[in-house]
Amino acid sequence: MKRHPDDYLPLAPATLHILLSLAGEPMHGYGIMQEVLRQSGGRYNLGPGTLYDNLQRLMKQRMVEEVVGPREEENSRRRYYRLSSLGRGVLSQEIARLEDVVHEGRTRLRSLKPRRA
Amino acid sequence: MVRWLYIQLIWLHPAPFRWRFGDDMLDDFDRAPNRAKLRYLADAVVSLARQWLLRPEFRHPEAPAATAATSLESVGVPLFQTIETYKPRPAALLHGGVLAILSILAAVLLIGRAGGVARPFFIGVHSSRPSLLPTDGNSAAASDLNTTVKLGPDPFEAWLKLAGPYFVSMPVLRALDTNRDFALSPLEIANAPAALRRLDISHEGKVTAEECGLHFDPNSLSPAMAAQLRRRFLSFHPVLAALDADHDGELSAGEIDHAAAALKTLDRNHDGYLTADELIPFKMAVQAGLR
Repeated sequence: MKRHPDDYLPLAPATLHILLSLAGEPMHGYGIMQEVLRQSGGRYNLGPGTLYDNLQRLMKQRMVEEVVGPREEENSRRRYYRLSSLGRGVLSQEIARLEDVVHEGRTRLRSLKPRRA
Repeated sequence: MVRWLYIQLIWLHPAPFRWRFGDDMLDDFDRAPNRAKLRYLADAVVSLARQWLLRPEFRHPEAPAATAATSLESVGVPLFQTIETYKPRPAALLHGGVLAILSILAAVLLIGRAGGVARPFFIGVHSSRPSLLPTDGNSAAASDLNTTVKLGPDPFEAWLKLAGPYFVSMPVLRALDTNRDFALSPLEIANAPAALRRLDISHEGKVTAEECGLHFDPNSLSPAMAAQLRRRFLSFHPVLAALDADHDGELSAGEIDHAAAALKTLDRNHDGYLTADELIPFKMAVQAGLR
């Protein structure tokens, strides 16, 4: 049975960061770890075990797929990964969900501000 | 030491995960700065627990033992070898070692005493003599100052040395590698279904673990243990693990039909060829010092 992107939400932080890293060009595992570190401002340091465990699950769910590496890296033995169309859809839905959360949070915080007399 | 521990932790992961991501995990570990290596080690421990406790869907399903037992009986494959548990006694090893050392010492003494004159065993042990190391001063003076840099042996040569016996011992690789160059070309990969069907000597439409090269005495193991041994055998060898998509310890007709596509998943550098470094099991490569 074909699943809708909404079925996978909400995403775990590691999954979100990995999908976000792959939103651009295809990357290998070490590149994804570096990109996650950069995206999170050095706060989220993904280890290889956590990364490949998530990649295994994402490939099984067909959100990520393995691709041929760039031409200059063709002698490299590393595997490259990219987002599938399903993965892109899931990521878009998650971003939209997070935007709603942020909007809701800002609204609530604004209402809590003390009013001037 | 930390790297060795990391390799052991990778090896403890379930086979499907290990053969797909093991090399990349080790490569990432080697690239990481030293300060991160202990954290990677802890991450591998967590990953190990997660894989075994939380990811049963990625491991092989438990096959019913009765099916495995009946299939073994119905196959009727002649078995020529058994897995021996024999180990020599420590005393025998000690005696053998002492005997070998004494034999070598006796040979050295006999050579040294030949002609009734004691000869030095090593150059310069007793006294330096010009005759021991004859040098030609003229040749030294006239030699060119050009430096010749000799490159070390090609690292792939080491893989080929390991590949020879490995390919010979694996019926599946022998069947696939028709030109005996210890690599699978795109043509050989495309012809894989036909090559694998030739291994089906029982004409059941499938290739069993025994037909893939597993040798054991079925009477020495319970049916459940035998089924587990077959699954472990197939998961140990990357080429068999790739072919056995449902991890049930045998290659079904459907898996044989899709053999070419399954083999292509092993092509890590996407050059269309499967070479020794892509086919030899991770643990064997580590033991040979190639990983």
